[in-house]
Amino acid sequence: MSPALRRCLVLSACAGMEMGWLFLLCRLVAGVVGLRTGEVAAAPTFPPPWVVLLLPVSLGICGLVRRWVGWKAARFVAWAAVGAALMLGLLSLGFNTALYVALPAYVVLWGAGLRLAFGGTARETAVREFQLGIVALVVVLAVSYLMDLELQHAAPTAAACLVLGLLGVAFANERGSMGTLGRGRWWGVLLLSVAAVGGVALLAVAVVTPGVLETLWQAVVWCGRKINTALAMIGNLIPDPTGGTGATPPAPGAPGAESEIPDGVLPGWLLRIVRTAFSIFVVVCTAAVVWLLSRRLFAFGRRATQGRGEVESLHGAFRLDLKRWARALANWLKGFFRRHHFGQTAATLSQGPPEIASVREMYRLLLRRAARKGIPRRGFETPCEYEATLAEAILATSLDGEHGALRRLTNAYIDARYGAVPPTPSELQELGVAWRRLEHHL
Amino acid sequence: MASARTPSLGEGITERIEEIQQLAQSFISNVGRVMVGKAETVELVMVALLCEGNLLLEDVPGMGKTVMARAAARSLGCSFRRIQCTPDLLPSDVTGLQFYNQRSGAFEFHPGPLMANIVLVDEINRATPRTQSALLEAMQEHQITVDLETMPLPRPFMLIATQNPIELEGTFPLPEAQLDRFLLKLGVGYPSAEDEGEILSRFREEDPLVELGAITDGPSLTVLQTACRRVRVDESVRDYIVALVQATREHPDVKLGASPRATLGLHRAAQALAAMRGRGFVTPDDVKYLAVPALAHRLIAKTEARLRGHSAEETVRSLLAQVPVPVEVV
Repeated sequence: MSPALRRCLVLSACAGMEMGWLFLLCRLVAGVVGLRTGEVAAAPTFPPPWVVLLLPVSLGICGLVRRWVGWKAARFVAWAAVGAALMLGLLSLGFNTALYVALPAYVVLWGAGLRLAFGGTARETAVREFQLGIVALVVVLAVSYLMDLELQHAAPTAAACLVLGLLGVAFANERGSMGTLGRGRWWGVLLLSVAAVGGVALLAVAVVTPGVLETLWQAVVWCGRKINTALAMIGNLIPDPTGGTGATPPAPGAPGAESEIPDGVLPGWLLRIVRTAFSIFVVVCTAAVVWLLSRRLFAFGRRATQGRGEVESLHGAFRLDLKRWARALANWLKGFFRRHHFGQTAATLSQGPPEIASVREMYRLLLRRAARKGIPRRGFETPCEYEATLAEAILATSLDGEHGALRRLTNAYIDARYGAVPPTPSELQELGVAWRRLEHHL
Repeated sequence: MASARTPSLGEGITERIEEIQQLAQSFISNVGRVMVGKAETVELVMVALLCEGNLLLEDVPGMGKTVMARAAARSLGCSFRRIQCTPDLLPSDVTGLQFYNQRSGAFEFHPGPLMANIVLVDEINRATPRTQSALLEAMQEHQITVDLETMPLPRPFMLIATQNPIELEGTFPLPEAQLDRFLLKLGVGYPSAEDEGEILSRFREEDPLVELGAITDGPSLTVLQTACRRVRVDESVRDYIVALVQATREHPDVKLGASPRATLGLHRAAQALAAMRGRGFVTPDDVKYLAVPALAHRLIAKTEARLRGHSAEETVRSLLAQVPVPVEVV
């Protein structure tokens, strides 16, 4: 298998896993909102085929773009376009997707996809995604059932995502150990293989003969109701602080006892706990997504700052970045307030002869204009280094006169800034001419 | 025009800076007659001379380290001595010794090769740590102590040491205290094919080093050394130097960062370079140009960094790409 194809498969599989539990999460958000208004929410209809097929395929496309185009912006745009097309497609097909589900889902889908498309899909990544997906899946299914949400599409979607996740792990571990799931243990591999085969079978059943799945689902529901009955019985053993007696458990052996058990028999306090736990889960998941996205953003920023293709992952680097960025923000704010409220910059500039202040102000204007043009001076660049960058970027197609003007302005600034050497009146006049020549290019 | 780019620093400084610029050009062209295509390295040798700093030339054999040191010494017209370091070299062989003169019936001091303006210590890492340590006082304080008697060394004084980084058998690595006393550490590097052809043609019949004449003398050089100290260093540039040195102490790959002596050295070297380029003030470009030769040899890298193949030069370069340069705030 070629590395590119293998990478695409891994990406697609991981995407399936992520998107799957995200899909279920969105359903639960809808459900929670519905429950708060006293209704059981009608689940937003993200049909499994869309989730299972479209998202991984789209991410696979992103992977291919990453591999063969190699242009970061192309990947960025590709994923954004695919995500937008997907959401528009869902909405245009008439699925009753509420805005509060669709919008965050799109944002998070975009972010997660971007993370996968930009980040390296190492073995550890795939295993971590898989573990996260498994935990989320179990929690989501359990809470969904307890809250009695509509689970028509959840089960096949979850199963398919599980399979995709397993495939992702399998591909990621093609030439390595099993990571944290079972480092070098044969039974871990066996367990995963069996689960993968079972999952694939379940997926095939879901696609080919939905009736069989329906039967399976009835069996699952029946088991669930049994568990629910047991929970209700346990719940009745606990004294109700409001004095109520709670739901009366049916007499053992009475005909039709199971069908008489109503939905939502759990006591209110237990439901509240469940909802609280679920809310915490949602908050933690959201925080995790924000954390991961911001990590990528910071890494991207660091890469841009350092001008390196790859950034080595260092322990504590993110924390240091945060500190550095916070310091930079504080400095910027300090400078901003100085400029706009206390006029200290003007005072600084006005120190010494007015000619020096003029040159410095002219250079500041040059920096500002160039930054707006998309070529800001990087912090570590000296005026001479920046002159070369600017000449290459902006004045590439211009005449020698513009290069000379830029050099004259830079030299005058260096003299004024570091040497406190003021320009003569004639030099100042020449600088004015030079600035006017440069102005057209900025 | 040097005068146009010189701030008002006091009486006669503009003329001095012009003199320094001319001397630097003459020195580069004079040494360039022997060292073909190595103008940048020769320029840095001149920086060390103007700062009265010591110089460590490190490169593989045959690159012209000794020739460069000898050419520099001949160009200056100062007294020159050479010490060929071997494991059996004693401190008294370097500093000199007190001996009993039977004729006069008194102890007399017989000066060693350190009593010269330019001292070439060839293959310094072949000397034992005991002998290497005998150089410490001379390098920093420009004096030697023999039998409780302290004697100043002739001024200007400069020690140029060479060492071979490849051949380590029978050598003693220089201690950090000694490395820190070198203002700059330079490599000569292989010449280009064109330069190598030029070397062949120049050295075909006779050695141009023999014909090399002096372009200045010791007292004149001392005056210019003093003038270099008056080159303006703006407060922001001074802060930049400090920030750069401080950053070496916080870098994750560095076990021991640069010392305050390194800060002083970088500051003085930047002043000398600015004067050589005809400026009466230092710019951040001067500091950046000198940062690697002035700081890298003073850093002690962590073992992990060494195992990862990160050199001290790379560390300094990475810091140069991080520490902000003082320019207008947009």
